[in-house]
Amino acid sequence: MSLRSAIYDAMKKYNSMRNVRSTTSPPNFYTLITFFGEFGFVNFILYCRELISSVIMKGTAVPMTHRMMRVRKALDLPQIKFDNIEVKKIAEAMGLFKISGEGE
Amino acid sequence: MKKYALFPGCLISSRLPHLESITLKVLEKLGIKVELLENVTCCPEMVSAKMVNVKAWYTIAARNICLAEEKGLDMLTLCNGCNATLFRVNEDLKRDAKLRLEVNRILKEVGRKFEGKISVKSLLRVLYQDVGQNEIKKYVRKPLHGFKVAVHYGCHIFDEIAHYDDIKKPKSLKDLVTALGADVISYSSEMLCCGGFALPLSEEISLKLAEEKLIDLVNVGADCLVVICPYCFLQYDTAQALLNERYNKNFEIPVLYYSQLLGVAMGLSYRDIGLEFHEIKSTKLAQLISGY
Repeated sequence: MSLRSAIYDAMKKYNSMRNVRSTTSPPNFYTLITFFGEFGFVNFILYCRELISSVIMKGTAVPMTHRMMRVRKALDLPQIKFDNIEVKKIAEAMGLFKISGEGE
Repeated sequence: MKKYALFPGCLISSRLPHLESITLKVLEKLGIKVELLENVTCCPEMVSAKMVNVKAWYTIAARNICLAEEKGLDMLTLCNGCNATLFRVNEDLKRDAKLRLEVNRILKEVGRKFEGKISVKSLLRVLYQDVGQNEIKKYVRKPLHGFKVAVHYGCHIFDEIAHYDDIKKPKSLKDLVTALGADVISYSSEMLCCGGFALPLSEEISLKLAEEKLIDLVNVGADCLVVICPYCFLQYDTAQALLNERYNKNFEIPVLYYSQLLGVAMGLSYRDIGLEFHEIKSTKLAQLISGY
């Protein structure tokens, strides 16, 4: 399969996935994981789930490491504090803990 | 003096702080003040968050916008992904009263309210529209004459670009590069995605996409690739290292975030520009910076 056709194929699956998602309520997400697992897209779904979980629990998709904290200091940049209080309240109000897996 | 609320985004804050550092330095030289937003969250990333729950995507993004609104400042984003989310959410919530009401009902739980009072702008838009090429030219100390620069816009900026540039033939970034005295070179895969989106699906596809552009850049003799997105930056910088190591390739095209190229033209040092953090270094670029 050529690169372009592989990408086209991936985008077609991705779009079909999004269409299904828009008509499905959050608790059915695990059904979708199974469904798209058959499409070979389980990695992407799990990636999305991990990312959202990180945003809810830590406020960021890319957690800060000690090394990067030192780099920021060396560059004279202030330390970054991501919110993980308000975003949790929002997630709770919207039933996102179930999706992210944090409420299990 | 213009002032913005800076939303650096997860990737720049936590993986590429040298891009934040050089951006702050060049903005200061241009007389632009920024106030770093505190207690932000991820924008959140558009594809994953929208797929999981569209309303949550709107609400979490709206909360970030509220932080800038509370300061009465327009928001400046440094990442195409952050801009795609925050720009789109800001525009949609300003336009759609019903959606705004729904989002504000949830935001009330955390004591916030989206008012729709500010604009969300990318670094590209701020430099191109609010500062302008002519003003930037005044700060050029080392014109980049003879330096062949290829530009890469990145997919996620096109929602915003549609408001001030031609999305089929964009010239905003090219104009900003030309303002520094460099030669912008065209290449056939200019509008090709960096392939970062494919990374969680297939590293092989992701690398092949990056390689397609890198081959073009070698063929046209580019001295560097200039980007305005940290994801595209990371993709092209690390992809070259991976391709060289795993597939015995020999790519050595330095990838620069636009602020870095601006920093070079402003005469800032190698250390200020942060080139030691790059996977791909360049002798020509180092010579240009040191003045040889």
